[in-house]
Amino acid sequence: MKIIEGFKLRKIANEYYVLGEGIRQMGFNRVLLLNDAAAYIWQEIDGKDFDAETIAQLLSCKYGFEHDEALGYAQQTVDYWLSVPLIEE
Amino acid sequence: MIFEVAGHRFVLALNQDLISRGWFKPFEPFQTGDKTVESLFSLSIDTGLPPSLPQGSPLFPDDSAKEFPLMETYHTENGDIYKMAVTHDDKQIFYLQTNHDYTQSTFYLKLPKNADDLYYHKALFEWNIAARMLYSINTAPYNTISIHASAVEMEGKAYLFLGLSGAGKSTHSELWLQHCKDTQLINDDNPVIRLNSDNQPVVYGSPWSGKTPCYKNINYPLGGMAQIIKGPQNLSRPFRTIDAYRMVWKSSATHHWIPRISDGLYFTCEKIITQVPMIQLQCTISEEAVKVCQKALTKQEFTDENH
Repeated sequence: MKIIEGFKLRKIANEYYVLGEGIRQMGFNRVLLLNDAAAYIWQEIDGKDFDAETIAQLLSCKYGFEHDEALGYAQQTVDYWLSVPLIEE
Repeated sequence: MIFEVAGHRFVLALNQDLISRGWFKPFEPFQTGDKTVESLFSLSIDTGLPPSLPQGSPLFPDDSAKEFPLMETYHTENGDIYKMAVTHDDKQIFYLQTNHDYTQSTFYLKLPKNADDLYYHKALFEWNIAARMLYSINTAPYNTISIHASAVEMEGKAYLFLGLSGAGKSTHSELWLQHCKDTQLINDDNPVIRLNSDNQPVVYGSPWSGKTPCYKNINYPLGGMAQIIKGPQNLSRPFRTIDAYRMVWKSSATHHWIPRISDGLYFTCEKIITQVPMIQLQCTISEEAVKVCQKALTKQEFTDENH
């Protein structure tokens, strides 16, 4: 999977938002507020191929989660981002 | 001729006919003879055959309402071609052709036989749209936005009124000029905001002022912004930060699919909304509207002393 081209993570007044700035986001009017963990993940996977396992490993390393727990969070994140969609296969 | 707006230089070239018709008049306060600093972009004109449009659909078809100006964007390997008209139905079509990085462009107007004043009026309107768009594109990477707003100055600070066309921005500016001492209009349609060396926003006059001929080569620190909405009463509320950001972005962004431009727009918009108060002002056409707005933006009561 990868982040759909044109979505950008922007820090605005100490908060992280994902905004649609590209051609593919014409007509996309949503703004997504990311918590620090999600923003960290986004910065690590931006421009790269990834899957839920990639995210789980990042969470485990950064926050010390056990693998299964991290994979659970990672899968939830992937599912949500796919539904918007912010990411694509 | 070379012009400088908000410290950015650009070159506009016209033939003698168009100069004598006053096309440079709004730009006169911004003329500079200094050739030591390089210009960001140049726009020339061509009265010959317009460029051929590439096969296929425009990159950006224009699906705005028919009564709005038309602008369709076609992408070629050498740059963009814009097909422009004052409304979607208007038969007079003009073209703008740019190079790949928008630094060198040509505006095409194929003068018909017996071209009348109306033709020249339309051509001037579209040429200004082209010049303003090229200015916005080329200055965005340099901490600058050109924003759709009306701007006034009071006590050494600039106040901007944003909103859709017809929302009442110009009317609200007029109320400030009418009811407050020592105020002036900076620009009535497209002032420029540029960050200074401390990343603080400064508002500049520009040659693009819509229906009000207000072309002033002046600048003031930005004191506050208000989104104007017509309403039955005068109420203000502060913007959430992200909403302020999106409002300023929407009022200024162009060609934001190009990373160097969107990165520049982001930096400037973020610095603006985190340093300057922004409110949403529902208002009537009244002195009270000014009082409510000023109190919210300056945190000072409107008194007879400044009336």
